[in-house]
Amino acid sequence: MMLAAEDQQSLELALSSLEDEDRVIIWMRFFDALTLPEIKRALHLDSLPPERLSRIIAALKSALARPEGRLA
Amino acid sequence: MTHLSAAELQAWYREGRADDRTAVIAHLAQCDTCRHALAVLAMNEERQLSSAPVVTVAEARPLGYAAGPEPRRAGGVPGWLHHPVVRLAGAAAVVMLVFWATTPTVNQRRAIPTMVAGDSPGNADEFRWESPFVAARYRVTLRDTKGVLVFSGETSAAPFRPSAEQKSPLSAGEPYTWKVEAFDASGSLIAESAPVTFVFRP
Repeated sequence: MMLAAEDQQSLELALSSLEDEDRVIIWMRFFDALTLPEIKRALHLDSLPPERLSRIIAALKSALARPEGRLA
Repeated sequence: MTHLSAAELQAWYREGRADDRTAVIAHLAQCDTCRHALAVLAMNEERQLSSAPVVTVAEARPLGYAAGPEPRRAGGVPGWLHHPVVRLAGAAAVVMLVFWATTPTVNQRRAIPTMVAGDSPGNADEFRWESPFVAARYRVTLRDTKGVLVFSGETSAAPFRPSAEQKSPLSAGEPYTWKVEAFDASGSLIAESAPVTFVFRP
């Protein structure tokens, strides 16, 4: 996936606002192409339902929508 | 930044000690190299598990596994066990047990259908397959002859076209094997193609 440099920086800024574990889940799911069961096993999570991924994505979208989450 | 060693990643993947959790997650959150290495480990582990050879008890015993107690000598067996009726009943019980153990359950009968992976033209520009059902997404993985993952990518429908960056590790004239897996919306594997081998000719 290729992003413009500005979008890339905005995304990284928004990702940095997430908890460490949530950030790793996003990276593994969308950049390393692991499935949720694979991520659950790799991170030794008790559970990783799709709802949790949805919540993380919602938080990421929210961070991207905030003025401080966007580059000027 | 000090990276996690391969042994540390392996140890984390296998044991996942609670004491290490905070430090490992914090490191993975900021280190693309280690996180990707763990991801590749997870994918390769899944592949090894799915193709693990079946070891019989007879094969395992010389290795020190499945070492049960020594069988009782014939002299120690009660006499009534040698009665023909008891032996017949025992044989029938064994047959029924084997039949029960080898008859697939309802879930097992839902065998994963095999998808047809198309022949790659050799330039690895495009990977095609035919799927008899609709899946939420498909994952294409390409490995070298040693089984090491070269790249993987996802798409919601065939074909999959890898980026130039994904293809960059490929060497002309070398054989590679690819397969496609189908996942449902929850991320569960629902189908898998047979592996297809081709020689990369850019």
